[in-house]
Amino acid sequence: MNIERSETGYHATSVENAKSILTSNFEKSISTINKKHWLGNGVYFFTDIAWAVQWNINALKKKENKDKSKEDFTILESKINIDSDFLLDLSSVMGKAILDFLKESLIKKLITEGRDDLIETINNRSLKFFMNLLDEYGFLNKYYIVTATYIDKKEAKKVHHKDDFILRIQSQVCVRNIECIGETKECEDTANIKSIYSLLES
Amino acid sequence: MKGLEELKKEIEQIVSKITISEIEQRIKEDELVEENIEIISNDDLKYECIKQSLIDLEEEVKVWKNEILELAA
Repeated sequence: MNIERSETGYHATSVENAKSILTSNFEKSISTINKKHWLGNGVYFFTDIAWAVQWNINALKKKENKDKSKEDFTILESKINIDSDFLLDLSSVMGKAILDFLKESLIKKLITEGRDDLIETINNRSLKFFMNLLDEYGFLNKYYIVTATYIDKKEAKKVHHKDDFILRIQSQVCVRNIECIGETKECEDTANIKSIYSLLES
Repeated sequence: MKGLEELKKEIEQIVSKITISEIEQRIKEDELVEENIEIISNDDLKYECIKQSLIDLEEEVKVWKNEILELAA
């Protein structure tokens, strides 16, 4: 791997998981029928710490975490080493072309097989639908990192400055090859994390 | 790194292997997925960043203008 640049990634998780990661490294999250990962299988990072804090806030609201508190969650900070030859950026022209071509090819197939009734359904499918298909058929195996810049319309509603487009944008990195993850440590900027918590919870 | 044409061929091969019943099954599973994600292209992001910088600059100019007017008064 030819490391061209490094980025800081923030991985939100429970303190328990963090301890295990820090002693025995990350494990890829693998999609199952009930839980599909939108950028395919891998270790997920946010590039902005604020969204990692938001992830922990959301995790705390889940039923299975009803007995847990903020102190049971933490944020790990990792150095992610990038080689553009093994990077798939869905926000790039290439990334868009790949997804568009997959959709077009599926539609062509439906037309050939006389199933025009499914065309609209394919057009309305989630990104997860297309990414999981590519992942399960091995297309994503050539990429060490898959990334995307996006707006999660549901999360965007929680941002205070609703008119500020930039603040609503998130970026996620899915590391498929764990060797791309460099030094990992618990995020030490506790003052910043605390202020983000209070801002997002207010 | 593979070029777009090569990648397109690979996608065509994948699609040729998928059966209609598999597509239907995947659609069924996907209907349970709640997704609100909209990908932002890198070009749109650059445009939005520049737009935001101009808005910020405009605000700063307003402040300077008021300060100058106050000093002049």
